[in-house]
Amino acid sequence: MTNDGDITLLLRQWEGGDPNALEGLFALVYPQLKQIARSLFRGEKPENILQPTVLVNELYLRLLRNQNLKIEDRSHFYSFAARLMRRVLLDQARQESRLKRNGGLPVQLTEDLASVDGSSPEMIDLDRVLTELDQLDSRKCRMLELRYFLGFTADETAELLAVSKATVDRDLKFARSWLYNKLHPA
Amino acid sequence: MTTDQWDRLQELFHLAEEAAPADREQFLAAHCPDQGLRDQVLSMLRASDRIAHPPASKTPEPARHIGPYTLIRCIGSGGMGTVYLVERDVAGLRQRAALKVLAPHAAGPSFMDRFHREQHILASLDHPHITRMLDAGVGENGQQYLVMEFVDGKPLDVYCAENRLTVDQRLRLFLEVCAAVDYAHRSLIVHLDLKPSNILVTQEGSPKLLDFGTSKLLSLDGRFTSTYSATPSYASPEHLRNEAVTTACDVYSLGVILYELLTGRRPAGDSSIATIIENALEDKPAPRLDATFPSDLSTIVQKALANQPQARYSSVSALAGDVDRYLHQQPILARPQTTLYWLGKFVRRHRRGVAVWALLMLLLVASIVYAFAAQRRAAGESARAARTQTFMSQLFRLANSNYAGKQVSSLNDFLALGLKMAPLLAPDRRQLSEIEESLAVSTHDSGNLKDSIPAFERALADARAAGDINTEVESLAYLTALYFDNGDAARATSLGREAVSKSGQPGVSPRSKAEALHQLGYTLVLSHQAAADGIHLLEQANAIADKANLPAFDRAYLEGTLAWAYTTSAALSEKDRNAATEKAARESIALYQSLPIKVCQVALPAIALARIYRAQRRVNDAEQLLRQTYEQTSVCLGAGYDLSLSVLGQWGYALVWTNHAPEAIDKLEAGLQLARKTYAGRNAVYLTDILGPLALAYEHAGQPKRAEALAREMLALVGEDPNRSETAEARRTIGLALVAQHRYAEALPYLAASYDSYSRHAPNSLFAVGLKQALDDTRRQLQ
Repeated sequence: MTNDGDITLLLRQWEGGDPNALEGLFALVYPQLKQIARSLFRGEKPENILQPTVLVNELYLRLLRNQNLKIEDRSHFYSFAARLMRRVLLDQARQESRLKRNGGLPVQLTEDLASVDGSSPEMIDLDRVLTELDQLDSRKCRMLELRYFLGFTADETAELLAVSKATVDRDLKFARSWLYNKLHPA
Repeated sequence: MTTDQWDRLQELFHLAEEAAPADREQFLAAHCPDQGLRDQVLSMLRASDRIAHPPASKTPEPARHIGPYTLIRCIGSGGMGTVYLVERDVAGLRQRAALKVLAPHAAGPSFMDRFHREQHILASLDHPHITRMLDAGVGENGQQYLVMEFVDGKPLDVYCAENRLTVDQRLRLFLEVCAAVDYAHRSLIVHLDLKPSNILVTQEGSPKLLDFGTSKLLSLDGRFTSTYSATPSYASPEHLRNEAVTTACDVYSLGVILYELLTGRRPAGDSSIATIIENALEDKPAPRLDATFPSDLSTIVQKALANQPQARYSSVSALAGDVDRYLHQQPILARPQTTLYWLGKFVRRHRRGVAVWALLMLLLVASIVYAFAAQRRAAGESARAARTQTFMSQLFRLANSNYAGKQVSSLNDFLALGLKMAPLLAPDRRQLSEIEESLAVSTHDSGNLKDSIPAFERALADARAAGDINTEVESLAYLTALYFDNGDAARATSLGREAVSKSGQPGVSPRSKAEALHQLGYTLVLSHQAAADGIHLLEQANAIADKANLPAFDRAYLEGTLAWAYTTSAALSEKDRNAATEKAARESIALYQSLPIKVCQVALPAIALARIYRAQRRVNDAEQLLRQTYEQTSVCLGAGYDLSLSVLGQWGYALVWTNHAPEAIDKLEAGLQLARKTYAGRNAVYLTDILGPLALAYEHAGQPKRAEALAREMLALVGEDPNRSETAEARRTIGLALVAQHRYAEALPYLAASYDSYSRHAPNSLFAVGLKQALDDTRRQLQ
């Protein structure tokens, strides 16, 4: 049984810069996530496990909804959930890449990319580059995660990160270009 | 990379980005000595351009043939597969079709299942607005395909926008879509991914539903859970919540489509999927259209978009039914049933009917809403107001639904239906008498005097039996007016006295009391029995109305009668009479004008005010006021109604005063024919309303013989009563007409008697002055 208070606490610690808190969060939430996924797909083949928003919102509902969350906590939660999705997708991609070679499409980084085709082995590359970005500039990494893994709009991302929309637009443009450059070296 | 380098990279990126592409290299060379960093920025800027303008995605070239089909071009690809426009030779004819193949990545068993399901579902559907399945098969490489009717059309939203369809046109198109979805539902199939891009409209304007790839066969209990996520913007909240989905999901999606067709955007706007899902979890109230849309449309959209499926339309046909009713201006079902609402609909539906309809409905509004709701509430009878409203709502529903077996096309039909239904809809005898009375009032106010007597008698009998003193007094008061109008002044007076004597009992509302005083007073004034008592009673009625602060409609009505009564008063001096009349008339008219609706009874104070104008020699003002009043009243009530005829007569006088005798003759002759029908068999004395001005007009127009005949008819009707103004008037016209025929000796007694009356009642009036002159001239001629 997950202690909801622990989750809120760990979220705050992670946001405060404690990297160990993130691992603690994964450990706490992963079992919940599996349970949710199971209940969502009711034994059918989980072909839509990568419908991240359904999963994340369900998670949000179960873990945090009844706690009168403050806006910061909600923001922390979504930042974490985006990271969680990234990890889920990565795991999925690793599994897939063991199963088949040379399938799928390369990672697309279009303007309105709302989700990432996690079955792509390129997800592994994307994760590696994102990790590098996180070390250089964690806010930009957070933005990309929110935009790409949870599909938040630029407006919503700005609200969650408590920055202006102009900042989000500017940072994303830079981060996306940097990422693309890393993934597709000329 | 160090933090400094990272910051420098960002700075250079954003600065160079501002420069024109051709100048960027030069710009960077000038600002950055580090070749590596410069190259990185340039490379990132190229990446940025590619992201902003992605090259057209290269879909793998498909084989040119699949089965017997020749591929022409790709017309779309979705999560499941790709659709091609294909051609096939059938008996020498080229047949076009849409061919769908599974995407290579979607080759898993569950996708195959779904593919087969779509095939199965499509094969079972046959509807003009659903794409038909033509064929299915397996290609040479083992690739499964589905061949469907090719629809050369535009997505629903694009079609509506490009053709600039009106709201009504959009709604009609929407209804056709609903018909297709409803058909699918009746075949136990829910679509689950309804959205404009899945609905194509052909050039002929016929919509076609596509893509049953996400649809589901309903299990027998009509519920199942779907694991397939539809397009979130159009998906129902329960679908997003991964709860059981039913046909209600399609109802919701249709609601989103309707919202988008009407407003050009989706209810969720540009929110992200995450936010849409979050809203679905939060049980938010359904979005509504902004106030520029008719409230019925907003109600329909809101009901289709209810968060909880049980609050939504129970079926697509229920949704379509309301849209259809909206288009036909019938009451939609998705609305709380208030009386005003049904009234509004009833009026709109019959707006092309005869003009009288507008009046009938206005009177119903006036009598029901004012006389029953506001005044009941004012009198602390809100429970009764609510009961009456409920009944009226039920009745309007019945009337609108053609329940009676035939179209309810007149107020009489409506009221007859009400009287028939009243015993079934009223739970006890007291409520029955209330309802009967309200129907009787409506019958009366609609001008149907013949049927209102039995209606009130019935209400009176039931009120007495139920011990409902208030309804009893009110019914008595109305019967007073009705019997008088029907020519039975004695019966009217005795009922009026009973009403007044009982109105002091507890349980009688101030309004009923005022009504009793008013009807008796009015009767006494009209019947010339005890005019001074009558005026006193009318003043009492007004005082009660003011004290109880009765609704404006009631007070306007009572003041109007009083104003009119003052003009007939023999007890007051001319100056006081004019002052009292003008005050009451102006107050009454002001009160009527404060009402949100036009009410026919405004004629009464208008007539009184016109008399004042005439006394003040303002004949043009009088003519204008009366012309307006007549136009309003004759449209409102119908030209043959008592009050309209009375206003017409007054206007006729004013036309003569303003030297328009020919116009007056024209209008009044037509009016006389109507009046003879209206008053046949009952109060023929009211014919004088027309006879008087018509005789005067002929006299002015130089046709004394016709004038004399009409005036003699008038005199015979009113009798030789020196205190009646009509008698004096008839004598005057006879006298003047005789003078014009040079029959001076015959004229003299008429002129003398008439002058005698006028000089006593209105010595300064035009008539009195003119008569004096005529009398002197006649005497001179005789000498």
